[in-house]
Amino acid sequence: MRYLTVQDVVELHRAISSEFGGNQAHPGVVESQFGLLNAVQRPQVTTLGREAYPSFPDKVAAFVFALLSYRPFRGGNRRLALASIFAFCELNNRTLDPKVFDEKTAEGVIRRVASHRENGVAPESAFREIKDTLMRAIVA
Amino acid sequence: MKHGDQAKAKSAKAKASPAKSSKAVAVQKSSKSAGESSKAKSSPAKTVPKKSAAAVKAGSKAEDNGGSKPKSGSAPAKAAVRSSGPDTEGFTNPVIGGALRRAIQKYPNAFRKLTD
Repeated sequence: MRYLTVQDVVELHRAISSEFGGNQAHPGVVESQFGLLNAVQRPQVTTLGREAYPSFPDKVAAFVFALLSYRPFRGGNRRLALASIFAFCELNNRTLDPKVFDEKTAEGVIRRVASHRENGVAPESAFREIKDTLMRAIVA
Repeated sequence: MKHGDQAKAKSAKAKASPAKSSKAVAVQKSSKSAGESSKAKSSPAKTVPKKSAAAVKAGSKAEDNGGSKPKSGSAPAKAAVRSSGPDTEGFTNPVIGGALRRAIQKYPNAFRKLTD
């Protein structure tokens, strides 16, 4: 299993922000070092000697959920979350089924997970939603 | 000589005479303008010091440089850069750069709509 590093995530953010961020983009500007490190290490967490997120969709979901919860960058966290799903899958030779994970679904899931606190949705429910979507979408 | 020949000769004279006159006028004008221009050229050359000439040269150089800048940053060039998407050069891991490029090609509207 290969994981995204902090450098990979910062480079991804820099590329996305300079492409889509507009005039008020802050490419590669980290606002929360703790949040970024926590999100990057989340898929590798173990509890009592066992992996907390054993399957690959679990790991991707954990990373994306942590990224959207901590919002480590000043802007462009949602775009980064979407891009990192692709990058994580590509690193581990997995693909996303475009029928399941189409453009609307991807946008909707990321939007809902990112704003689950504001909408009063429990974090468990938000995590379950993205995990179920990715379980259906990720093809080995 | 026939009647038609006379008419032709007249018309030929009429054509030739204005040309001559115009040439003469043009020569006169050119001589006058040359004299004026020589005067005009000579008078500023005498009055303008060497420093101002250097400044003019520098200005022309600056204009040249300024003229070359818009070529690189022109709108079509920017559009070409944008259409190609982010390069994989900015990534230490080229796999991630390729993944991002494919993601943007697949979901361009999602990337555009997702704003913080």
